[in-house]
Amino acid sequence: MLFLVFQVGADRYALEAVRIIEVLAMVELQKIAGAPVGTAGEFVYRGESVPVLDLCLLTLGRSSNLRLSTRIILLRHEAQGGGQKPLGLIAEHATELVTKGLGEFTSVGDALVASDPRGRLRLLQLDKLLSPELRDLLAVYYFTQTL
Amino acid sequence: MLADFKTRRRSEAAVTAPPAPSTQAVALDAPRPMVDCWQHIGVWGNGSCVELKTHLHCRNCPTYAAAAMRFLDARPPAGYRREWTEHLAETTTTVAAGTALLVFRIGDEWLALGIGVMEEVGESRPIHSLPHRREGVLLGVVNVRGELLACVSVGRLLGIDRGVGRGSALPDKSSGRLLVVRHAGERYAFPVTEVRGVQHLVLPDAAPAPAPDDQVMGAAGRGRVEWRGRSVCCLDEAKLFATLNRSLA
Repeated sequence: MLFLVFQVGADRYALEAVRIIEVLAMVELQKIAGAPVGTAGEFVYRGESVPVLDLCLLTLGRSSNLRLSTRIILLRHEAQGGGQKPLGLIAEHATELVTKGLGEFTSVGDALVASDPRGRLRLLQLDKLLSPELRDLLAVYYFTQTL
Repeated sequence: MLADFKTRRRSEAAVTAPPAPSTQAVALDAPRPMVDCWQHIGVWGNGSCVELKTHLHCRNCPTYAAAAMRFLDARPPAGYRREWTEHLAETTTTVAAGTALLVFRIGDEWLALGIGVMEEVGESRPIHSLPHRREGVLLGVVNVRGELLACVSVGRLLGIDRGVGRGSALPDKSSGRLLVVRHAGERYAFPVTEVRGVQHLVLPDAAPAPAPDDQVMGAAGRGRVEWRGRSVCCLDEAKLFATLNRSLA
């Protein structure tokens, strides 16, 4: 299975490549009014508004560094009430792909971790990262798009 | 001259004092100072690096790859985010319709084959003939990346005789290309006169019965399509490979 490897601060994370629509360059984001912590804003992707979360903001409480290697991972998000919706995640050092089996990730406490020549690799479990406020925001965001 | 420049640059780097801690915030703008071991102990230096025994060349070494990644740690240039924002906001109006086919020419005949079976388009290369196989569809074997593949003549298979193997009609183009195809685990190579890249062609739903004298359509055709004023014969993969296997047996 192919994984995209990126960093959140010093920690290396992996995300299944099948869930990814596209890895985009950093764009100018518009703030979403009243959005909870962890939201970076929104942007227009091929005529459709997409909400963007900042993984560094979610886990470390600081914004991602603005570098060429800091990119927006556009993935298919399982929206509440069914259906897949695009969701952007800002990740640092999103420059690498690795092939690993899902079985190589072993459960260490709350996380799924695999060893790698360059250290530990954690599987990104987005559902665990999302707070109830963020879930509500995404649900309302996607719902208003269908109106 | 170049060596001169290299040594000068290296000595300049050697005498440059390390940046003071106060300028660290400024230094973030530039890529971090590069440890260019490949210039000193690697293949572009004296070749004394012990890692070379494992990797043979610096370009196979993870240190070299990691140094390349460091370029991406630079701050984006001015206007970079603006440009990408505008580019991604555009809706793609030209959605490719039709089937993706590789259009090529054998002799005077324009043909198209699905890109699903295409593996490689390469330069034409020497075909080594096989003993007692002078006639027929099998031309011989060719070396493709160190692997010997059966080289067949699709022109002969389809009954295209005119102009096969002659020089290209376009004077600046080199003489011919070699296509490598894969079907049901079998790989073949065949020479063509010219390749015109991948085109999206709309195939007719119900192909009209081919003209009785249309040999190519009769042999392995799926339908004829008009493309830039030419009549392109889209080949049916299943039919083509079935015919090919029959004639090779």
